[in-house]
Amino acid sequence: MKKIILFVLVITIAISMLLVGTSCKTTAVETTTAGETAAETTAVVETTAVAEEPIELVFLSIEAEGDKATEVLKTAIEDFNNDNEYNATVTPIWAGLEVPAKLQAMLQSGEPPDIFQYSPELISEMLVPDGLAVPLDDFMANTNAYKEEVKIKDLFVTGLLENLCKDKDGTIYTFPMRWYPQVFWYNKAYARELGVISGEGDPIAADGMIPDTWPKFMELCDYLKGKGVAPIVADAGINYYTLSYFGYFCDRIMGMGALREAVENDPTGAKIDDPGFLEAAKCVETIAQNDWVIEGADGYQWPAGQIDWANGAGFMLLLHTFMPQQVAEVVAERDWEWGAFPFPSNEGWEGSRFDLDALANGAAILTNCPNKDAAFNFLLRTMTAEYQSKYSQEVLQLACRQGIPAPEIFKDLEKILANQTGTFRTYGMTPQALPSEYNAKVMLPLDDELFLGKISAEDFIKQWKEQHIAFYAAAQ
Amino acid sequence: MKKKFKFNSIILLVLPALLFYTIFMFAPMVSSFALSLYNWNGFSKNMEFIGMQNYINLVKDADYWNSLRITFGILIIGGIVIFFLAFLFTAFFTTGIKGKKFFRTIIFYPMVISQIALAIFWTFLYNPRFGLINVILRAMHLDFLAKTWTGKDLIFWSVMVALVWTYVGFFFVLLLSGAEKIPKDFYDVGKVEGANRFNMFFKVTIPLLWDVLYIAIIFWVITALKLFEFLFAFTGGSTVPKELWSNSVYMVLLTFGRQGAFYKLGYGSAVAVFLVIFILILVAIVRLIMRARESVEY
Repeated sequence: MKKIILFVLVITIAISMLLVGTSCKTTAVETTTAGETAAETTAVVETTAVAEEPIELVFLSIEAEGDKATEVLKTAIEDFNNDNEYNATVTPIWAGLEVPAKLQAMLQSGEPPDIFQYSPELISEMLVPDGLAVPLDDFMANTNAYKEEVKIKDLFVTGLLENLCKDKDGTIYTFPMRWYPQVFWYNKAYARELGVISGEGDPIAADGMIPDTWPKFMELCDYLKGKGVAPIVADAGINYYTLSYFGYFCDRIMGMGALREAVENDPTGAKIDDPGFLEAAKCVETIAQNDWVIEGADGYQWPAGQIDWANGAGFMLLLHTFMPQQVAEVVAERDWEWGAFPFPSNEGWEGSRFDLDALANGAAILTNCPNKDAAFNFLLRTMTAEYQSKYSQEVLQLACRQGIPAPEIFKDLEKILANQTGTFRTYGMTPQALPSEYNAKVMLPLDDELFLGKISAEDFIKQWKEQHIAFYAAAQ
Repeated sequence: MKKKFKFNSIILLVLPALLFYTIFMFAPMVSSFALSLYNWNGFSKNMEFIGMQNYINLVKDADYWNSLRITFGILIIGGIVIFFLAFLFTAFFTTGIKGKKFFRTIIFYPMVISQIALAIFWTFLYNPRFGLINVILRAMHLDFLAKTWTGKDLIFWSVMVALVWTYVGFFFVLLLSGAEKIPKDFYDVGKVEGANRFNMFFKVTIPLLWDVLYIAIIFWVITALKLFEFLFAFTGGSTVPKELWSNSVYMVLLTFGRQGAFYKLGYGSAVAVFLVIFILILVAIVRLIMRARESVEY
């Protein structure tokens, strides 16, 4: 019997080793060095050779089946599949938020997609280091928009391509497809009832008590609190939502990208000593100490906070442009008029109130793609005025293309965008501008403590620096 | 000749199950161990062999130890409360109470509902403003008891209550099915001998339930150690706060979480290997403890 067991065990181990050996083999994805890829890309731009054999382009998308955005994107795919000079068809895989795991599986099975839609930050992290993503700079610079006499790069809204879709080395790997700026939202009908505004509440002129500076913001909060209304609602159970406050203050006080610079480019933590960070932390501390955030905010499990806000539990909510759609059913039952204003700045601060923080996602073309021209041509179809208008009006989101009217709910936002001076990446939200592990282990828990008034601004800076140094020391 | 035939028969009968187990269980385990020796993000084709470095880093990783603390908190505290309540219900329902089937179904009910649905249900109950718990407390003029149940300070305990509510029914039914098989004669003898309910439960029911209890404890150990879905869904399926970073949550964060993952597949595999080792050790401990008391045959 012992011999049988031994025999069985040996067979088991042998098969396991065989399987492990197979699974640990590197994937058969064809990659080239960065230089070769760039050269190849340039060559591809210059050629317009029509493929003789039919080509299938696999498009792995973050969109989910059934979403409105997906339905609109399907029209671009249909348009391309029905009429293109490359004898190519695009086959989508709607992976939703599971898209990174799906990409991992596809890469490991040696069958990577040809086009991959996700955030620029994660495209940089997942594909760029191995030369799996095609640099798009030449495509952007040399290709006209689909059936138009204008270069595609000149069609994107302010800062989208330059600030949100560029890699750290300045190369563009992501073709922008979605963007979501972040502003304060409020209900104008409620604001009139409270006496905050009397007329239109224009965000540019900062009508009534709509704040354009930090002192005016504080005045508004005091006024609302005096009326028994919670000035700020926040889904503080989601720690990356609350980081928007500290992030915005940092970039208002020290200029765009200040927080990112301190986090990513200085393992010694010396930059954290910049008094601007303490000032930013003190602004957040002021919000916490004055109890301007709705009671119980830290207990909100998304989307409880924004639903409460839409039900009139508080006055304003700082969030991206995807939020109005998420509360559409709730506001439909109320006397509601969408209002928005940008995060305030102040005299002497570096950043303008029209520097907007935003999230973006877009598509990368993978180096294994059999016809990059065809893939880029497909992406161009998603930037036509017709497609972008359809996206804007049916999905009720902002278009990536300039000059496309925003949906009615973004009337104020449209005015803000017309005055936009810059764009920077949202720090906390996923996709994240800061490294996700740093956010999860250092920044988000500490910022939570600050936002909820559990530590002082000074303690926040002290602990941040200590944990920042420890994080980078452990990473080495 | 006969011996050889027997050997071949055994191999033939065992082989399908063995192959299945090898391909889907044993090989992934060995594969996980192999991956844990690499620095790899799961996307790159370049896997850097770093030997035992991931394990050395793990030992120094405060977040990993914190995740173990939370996991063992759920395992031990949750286990004690769940088994206490399960025994309480078992004791109660073996007294011949009317409507036993109805109450048993009610108590077992959470087990047939998806963990995700249950987690969302509990977040609504706990909502600090309109949640049922606080609404009832306020209606009873007990405002001072209306807390932010899902705030940082209380979220672990709130989840614990929800977990106990979810799992107690399953363990109760398991114990009850064992208790109901105990011959009535044992209790009759106990009565004759003058044993009270308390004595009968500890001197008769528990010893005769020993085998069922052993299975139940092993099941709870494994459930608690790999608990993930409930914690994930409870926090909106987004970022799980550090207060709920159990071992499994941390492992998913490290490897391929939906949002905010760290993409350290090699390091995450090291956590998985440790988790398997912990499960084996705990199962061995439970076996040793349970073996120390002989089960009673009847």
